[in-house]
Amino acid sequence: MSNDILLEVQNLKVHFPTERGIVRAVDGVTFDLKRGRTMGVVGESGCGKSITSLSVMRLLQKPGRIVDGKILYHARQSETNASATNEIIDIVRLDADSAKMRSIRGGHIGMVFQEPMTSLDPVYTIGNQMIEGISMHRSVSPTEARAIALDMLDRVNMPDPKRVIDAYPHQLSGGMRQRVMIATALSCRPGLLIADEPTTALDVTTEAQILELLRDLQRDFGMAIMYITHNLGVVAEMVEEAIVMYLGKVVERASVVDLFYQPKHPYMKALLRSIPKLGRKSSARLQAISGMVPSPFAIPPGCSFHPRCPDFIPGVCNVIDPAVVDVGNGHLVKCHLYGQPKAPETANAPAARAAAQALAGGAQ
Amino acid sequence: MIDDRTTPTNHAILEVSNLKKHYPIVRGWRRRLVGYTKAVDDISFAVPAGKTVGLVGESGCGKTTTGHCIMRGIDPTAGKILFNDKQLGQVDLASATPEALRQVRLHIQMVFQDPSSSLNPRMTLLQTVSEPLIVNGVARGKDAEERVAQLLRLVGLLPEHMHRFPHAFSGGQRQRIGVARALALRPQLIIADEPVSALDVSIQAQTLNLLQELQEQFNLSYLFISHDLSVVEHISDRVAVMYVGKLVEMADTEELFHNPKHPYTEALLSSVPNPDPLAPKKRIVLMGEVPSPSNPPSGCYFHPRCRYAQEICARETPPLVQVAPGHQAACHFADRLSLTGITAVKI
Repeated sequence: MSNDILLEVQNLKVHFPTERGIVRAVDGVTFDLKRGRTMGVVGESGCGKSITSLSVMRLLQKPGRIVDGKILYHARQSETNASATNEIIDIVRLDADSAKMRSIRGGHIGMVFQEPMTSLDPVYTIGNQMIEGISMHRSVSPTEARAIALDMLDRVNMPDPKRVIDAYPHQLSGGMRQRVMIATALSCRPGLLIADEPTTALDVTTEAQILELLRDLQRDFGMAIMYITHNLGVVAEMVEEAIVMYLGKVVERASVVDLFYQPKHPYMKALLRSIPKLGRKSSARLQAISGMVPSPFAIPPGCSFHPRCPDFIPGVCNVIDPAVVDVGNGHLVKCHLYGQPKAPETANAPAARAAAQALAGGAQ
Repeated sequence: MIDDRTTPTNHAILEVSNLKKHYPIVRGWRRRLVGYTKAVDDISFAVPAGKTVGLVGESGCGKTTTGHCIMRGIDPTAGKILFNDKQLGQVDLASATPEALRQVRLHIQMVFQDPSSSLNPRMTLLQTVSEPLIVNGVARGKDAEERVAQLLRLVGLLPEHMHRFPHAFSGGQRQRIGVARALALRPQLIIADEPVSALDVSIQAQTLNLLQELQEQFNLSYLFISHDLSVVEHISDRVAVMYVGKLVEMADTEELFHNPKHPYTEALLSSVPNPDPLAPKKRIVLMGEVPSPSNPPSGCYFHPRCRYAQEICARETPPLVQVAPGHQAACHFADRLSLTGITAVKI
């Protein structure tokens, strides 16, 4: 099981052509996720974490476009209901509206969004919406579909499922709506659940309920979870490994213990220092990250974090985009501090170094 | 530390006592009164001068309504809101005349949650920040412009940008504009309603630091309304916890977080996600939902979700009583339960 890859994203690039220029929302993201594992995607708004997950679902809105890269989904017969055999599907190559993509979206990969009110249709009952999804992906009669829906509502600990199934979304509280979303997403037994900030809109005590529920369901159903959030506390509690994104790039990837106990990338270190932590009250100020996330139209050259980085090396960081370095134990970091930039000796590399030296000289 | 805040001699800039805001529920075409939504139900607390009081609770608990009552954005149903000022003396905001209110309002300002919707998109920074100065006849023309430049520098924005519109700024910068506007009249008390909730983590820290620096510089007092317990712990000297319109517990920050006396506070504290992947996950998950303030449960409002609930809890509403010096809780068993506070985050 250990090498059982479920999803591989390779060098994914998503661009949004706009009047002011191209926004590189996702700029060469690579990661993989094994079957039944949990992975966190961490980053601030605008880092491309949601666009990455929408690309996997092929739900990108225009003018967003996947311009490069692969998203390989390793489908397995047992988890589908009819169509697929053991095969590797490149989601990027599928037509977003094709029958195949529609069977993957919802059938193989389920998704839970941040705001449960906007992801449910206010004019249909909960039952209608769940049954529609179930009958689309599984060959079952309407009565069976309803039974599955009821069972799923029960599995997410919904109080009084028989009443809720005929209720409209506005009759439910935020936490109950999010339970409906989770029940719907899991009703087709997907191999992968993408949870995009599923608890951000909820109160703390409701958040605790939903996190607990997701943990239980993952144990029971064994699906892999891709957990997208900006909340470092949630990441630490919910996932086994995580990737950290900044301006469309993955800057660090590690097991969650390594990431929190031995963060390598200056951005991740700074993030951890900047959050207030319970029980650590002191009159001292928080160590804020200086500056702000740059505009997507003016991404700094070299390492895009360099203008805010405390360990900025003039002449290197602002010139050469750092390579990804493995610092051991599968801990990947994209930073010049760890090993010399192993740029391949292409025609550009010496020129870049020369430019770097010139800049470093100029700075002194 | 505790003493200077609990002794009555300490100067409280704001004293709220028995504040109530009840909304009538009417039914039918004759608008027959069938009950009340008790959004804020008999709460009392004080904000000491130069200190920060955190008001925490979940959505719908009445924390924002409390803030609005103090500003008299809405009129309280009952209670006193005493504002103590050296020049004006003691003013009861709840019963003040419009003229008196105008005077006091110079000293109380508000910072809102969503910086994009609390700024007028058609007004430049200069217009937004100078508006309170002009309306209150403090400064105008070149004079006002100079004051705005000062204020912008104070909150870390460039005075050159004062002719720009809000859309040209990021979320964190917009919140700074909101802070600059609140500071324009040199207030003594700032009511900050979820001021950092809409901001990204890295910007959140900058804004919290700014608020603390300004507090030291101008001896400001804050009423800091938030649902984020880690933020409240960081910034507050004293914390009040609300549940369904009532205050259930109030104490100095360290005492409240380490030694909670109300089961709701205990559950709230344990549900905060801990940024330590190796920390034991032993959280108290509350069952069910927050009840509606228009139809609250009998007795103690928290009893249907409380794991320590006894028979008396469904019958009698526990009053908010002192359980230790400076520490109040509204629980029948506050002195008998031994509740768990937070464990310090190691990371």
